[in-house]
Amino acid sequence: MDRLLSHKDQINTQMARYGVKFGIYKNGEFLERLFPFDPIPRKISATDYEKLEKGLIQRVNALNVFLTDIYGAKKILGDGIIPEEFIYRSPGYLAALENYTPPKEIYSHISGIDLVLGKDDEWYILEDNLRIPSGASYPLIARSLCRKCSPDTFRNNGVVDNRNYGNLLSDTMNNVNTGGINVIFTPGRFNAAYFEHSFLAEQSGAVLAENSDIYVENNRVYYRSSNGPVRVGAIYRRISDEYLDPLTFRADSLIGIPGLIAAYRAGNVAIINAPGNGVADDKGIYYFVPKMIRYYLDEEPILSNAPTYLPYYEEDLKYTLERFDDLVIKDVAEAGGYGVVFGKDLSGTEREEFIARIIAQPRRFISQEIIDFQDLPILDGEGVIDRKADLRAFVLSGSTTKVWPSGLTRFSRNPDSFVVNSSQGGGFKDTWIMSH
Amino acid sequence: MIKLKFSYETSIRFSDDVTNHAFLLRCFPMDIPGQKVESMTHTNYPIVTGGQYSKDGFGNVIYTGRIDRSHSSMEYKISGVIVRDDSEAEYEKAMPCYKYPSELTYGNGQMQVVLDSLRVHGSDIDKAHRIADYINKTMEYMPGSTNVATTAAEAFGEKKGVCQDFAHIMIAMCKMEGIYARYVSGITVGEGETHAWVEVWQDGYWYGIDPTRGCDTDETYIKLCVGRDYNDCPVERGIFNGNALQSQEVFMKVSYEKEEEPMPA
Repeated sequence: MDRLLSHKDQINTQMARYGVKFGIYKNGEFLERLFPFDPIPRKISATDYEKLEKGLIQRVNALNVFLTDIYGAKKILGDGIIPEEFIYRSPGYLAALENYTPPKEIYSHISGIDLVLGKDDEWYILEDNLRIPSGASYPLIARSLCRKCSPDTFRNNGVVDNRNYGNLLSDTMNNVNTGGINVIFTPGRFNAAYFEHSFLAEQSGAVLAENSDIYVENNRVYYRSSNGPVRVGAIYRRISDEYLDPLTFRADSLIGIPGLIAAYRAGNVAIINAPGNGVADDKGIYYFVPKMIRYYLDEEPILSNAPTYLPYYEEDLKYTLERFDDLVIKDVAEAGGYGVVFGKDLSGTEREEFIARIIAQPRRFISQEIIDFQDLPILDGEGVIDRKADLRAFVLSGSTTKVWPSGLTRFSRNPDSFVVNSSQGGGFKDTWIMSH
Repeated sequence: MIKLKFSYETSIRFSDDVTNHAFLLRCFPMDIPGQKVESMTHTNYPIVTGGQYSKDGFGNVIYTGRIDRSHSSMEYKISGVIVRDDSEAEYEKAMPCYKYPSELTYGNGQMQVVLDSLRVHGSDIDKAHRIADYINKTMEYMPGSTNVATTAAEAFGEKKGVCQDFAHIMIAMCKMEGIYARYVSGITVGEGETHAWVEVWQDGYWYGIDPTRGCDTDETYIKLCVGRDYNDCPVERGIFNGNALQSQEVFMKVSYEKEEEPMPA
């Protein structure tokens, strides 16, 4: 272990050389920065993981049934479990995908579920990412570099091998492939996650393609290979819904595939993840996920949400205003750690204005108890410091739903920050699932 | 029941040659109870590769295709015979999204003030009529005063617009009253340009109301497509390679199929 820790700098240098970078847009500017790696792993015991795995599979299965229901029969609305407006006022809902069910009723093939471990040793779900959850490549490449620096560490410590991600990914694509090759569709090298796109293509054996490589004819999707056109049966797209097809969504998108949605609706290609998933992973819908699990699966949720209140309900609004200083308030329309406000940090007119916004548009906000989650040790110079950390678990829905026995552990840059989103600075760790 | 002959043509000119042109057309009369397509022909120029008909999320027929080779114009023409019979309309459930604002149909405080002063009451259809009547009387029809991106609120503020704006405002105000309302793009007996109106859903049926002309729709109206607002219903969308500006001409004609036959002497 000491051997591994002593290689921190070499590993980071190697990653920089590989181009393991993280890009963000801030104030209209594209910034690229390295995503610092900390060599002290997060360890999850076998018994702890067993519960996590069951709970994650249950949650993702329920979310897939929910999406099938929302774009189909809409029973959960008819039965009054979720108020309609949480669907139809959500920017993630796409009417263009109504009256169509994707292959095998899978919408979220690759789900990134963010959790934290509370000081009570319980895992809490922070959010579901069902659109384009990124980050699997970071622990994958970090693990392989660590393994090179210190092979014994992995031999002696009983760490579950995580090198199967590429296979899981190709199984997931093959399961819904309608006939043809698998493609990873990237907006190109200026995208924040371009490194990951190329890395995952290599790992899964899929072809990495940009929009000039792909076209639609006869409602079928083709890849322009050096040997002529090749049918595409599954597209793992790494661009967001609104840019996906300029004939259906944003007409000014120059990075999309014109005609893709018509081909998809004709059943001639699978899109991974399905467009329209945003309706299931916004912060407002998060509140309802435990109810979905009970409604669709007739099971009790294995993993808990952070205690959440919906100001949409009068009782919850009252509670939110009364306990304002103890709560974190989130704007449901924002992602990536933006739009997150701690009640105690607001004062004066700022506070009054924010409260007025909640009262005026209660549906736009959720409030949550601040979870006191566990710190993880981070190597800092010669010593060790503590930082808040979360875990993004990757759940892949192929012929069955599986959890990748690894994950992305992110830690905050500042000691007092509870926000551990990679868009907000900070770094990452490897996540070891222990075999015992 | 009436039979209508229709033809609809569009020609698009590009200021320079374009290639790799992918497009989507949404201009085929709907084939639904009450509006049966008896016959239809559709031609394109230049030759389209891989054109396919399918349906969008709202159930509208769409045609997607590509023109790969260099071209400086594109034309498409649809013609045929439609049988209209409103008594054939069938019970249907409305998509819940028709009750909530879309990008171009958000209401605002100004509209709320008007709704309060109108004191709309009665059935949803009664309320919708009151709203349509208000729009018809207070809005000025002025081509060129708005564009396809103009929202209901913007047109309402300016008090002028075209059929599309009249429809958007009516939809926005209906939704503020909790009424299911949708945008219809279509053609009507006569010649010239396409038209747009509103349908309001009550007790399982859609009722057509035309706020621009201030009337209910009748069997002289042919629906091409429906959606939440204009964004769901553009007749054509395309994307191509080439630095060209495009201009477009649309011509439609709808007439009764049977000319009056001379009475036997």
